[in-house]
Amino acid sequence: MTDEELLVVYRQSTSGGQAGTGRLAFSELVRRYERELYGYLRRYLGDAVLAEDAFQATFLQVHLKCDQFEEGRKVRPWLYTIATHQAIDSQRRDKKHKIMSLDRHNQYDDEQMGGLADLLASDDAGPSARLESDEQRDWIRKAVSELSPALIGPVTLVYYQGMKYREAAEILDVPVGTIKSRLNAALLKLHEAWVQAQPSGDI
Amino acid sequence: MHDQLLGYLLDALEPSEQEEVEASLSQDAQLQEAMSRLHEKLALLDDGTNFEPPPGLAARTCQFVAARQAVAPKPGCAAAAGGWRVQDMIVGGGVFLAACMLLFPAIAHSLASARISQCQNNLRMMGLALGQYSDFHAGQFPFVPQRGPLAVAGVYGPLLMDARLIDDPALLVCPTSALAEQADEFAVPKLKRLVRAAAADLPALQSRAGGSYGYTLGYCENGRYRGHRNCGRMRFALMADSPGELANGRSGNHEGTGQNVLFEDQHVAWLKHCRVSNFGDHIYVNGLGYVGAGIGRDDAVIGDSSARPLTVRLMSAQ
Repeated sequence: MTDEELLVVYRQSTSGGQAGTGRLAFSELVRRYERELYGYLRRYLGDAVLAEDAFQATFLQVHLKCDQFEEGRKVRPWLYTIATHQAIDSQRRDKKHKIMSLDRHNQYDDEQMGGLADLLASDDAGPSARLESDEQRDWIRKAVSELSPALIGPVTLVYYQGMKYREAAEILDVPVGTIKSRLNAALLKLHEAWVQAQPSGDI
Repeated sequence: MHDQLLGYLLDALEPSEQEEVEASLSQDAQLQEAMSRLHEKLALLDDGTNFEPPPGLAARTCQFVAARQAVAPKPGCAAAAGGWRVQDMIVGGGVFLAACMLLFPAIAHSLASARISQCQNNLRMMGLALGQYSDFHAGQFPFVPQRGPLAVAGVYGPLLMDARLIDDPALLVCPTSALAEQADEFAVPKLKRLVRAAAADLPALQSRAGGSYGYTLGYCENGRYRGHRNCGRMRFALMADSPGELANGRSGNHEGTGQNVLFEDQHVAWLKHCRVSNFGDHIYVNGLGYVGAGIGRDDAVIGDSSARPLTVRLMSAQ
């Protein structure tokens, strides 16, 4: 049974159909997306508790908004869109969210973000040979989680969730070009932060 | 072309764009060099972590949503304000009658289609439950034993209910079956009740256990009777509308016009006849032509709720 069919069965059950059938369809949908969507939210929010809350809030919204799901659409991007909104709301509510972030000088302005040319122009040695220890992996996790919401969405969807530019653009409701430029900018920021983090003369 | 390199490395481009980049790379050494440098920098995103959800997240989420269904009713259900005048009701009634006369054949047809569709949804849900059952039982589907009070095809119903894989007995009732008229009162007997039932009560309980659907009996192989394992076969019938007593062998549900069949790969199809294809397996009888255990692991025999996996003739044949 496809995700779309499960959602239709659940929607019918909420409007007077068989409640038991609907519960089964809903729980199957949650089970199918448990790993994938939790992984996305965990990375987006950088916090296990916030990710679990956002995951639950996402499926509460699925229950409340299943009537708005348009026939012919795919469930996966719809779920990701809802999950992204929940993650953004969660970040707004979270008082402890890090004020200091890698992009504290740039506020989501794509025009000011560096491009791929800047990244390719850098002659610094690549980090691949250095990223071996747990400490370095921790550094990457922390640096990625501190990217701004505008950057972390495209990075998580395209790099970690393996989506096409087109799919990420649909979920985040921005043009494909914006996804590309934000990915370039995120990579450039990580690279700059990596270079700054190295002891002088060690690059 | 440089601006497509990142998308190429991340496999985020469309297939046509991907091919364009590949063609350029094969001819442009500078582009290859740029891609190599970019590839090194992508290591900045590789933290080697695969975040696993905490145990029981899906179950907690379902409980979380269920708990809020009661306190947060869905919007948009409010009744329309105001009332109708007598004239409005007369005009409305006339329009309604005219529409009924025009649309009656179409309505009857769409009602039949809707019932087939509802029946298919039931079977899809049963497919999910049977799949989960096999996950919890090392790939084994609910087993119909050879002897005892549980030795009927309908035992799958109590097994799934007792395992809490289905919680609504209405799933076992096809909307076109005779049982649908008393669907509100229909209940699947518990396993304990079947086991402890008096001899006089047992046939009635067994005939109710599987509702209005049939389930596949076991099969004989090398002189032994076995239950089916989940192999995801796309042409192996696992459940179907219960077999009827009509001359053409079709199910008595859906007014004898055909039957819905759940296959092992969880897809559901509407079959007008009782064979999976022109010369394929007959879903209601075994290879020897009677209702009993299959004559091999690919011989599906969907028995009604009271059907027993007879093996006597098979054992003697083998």
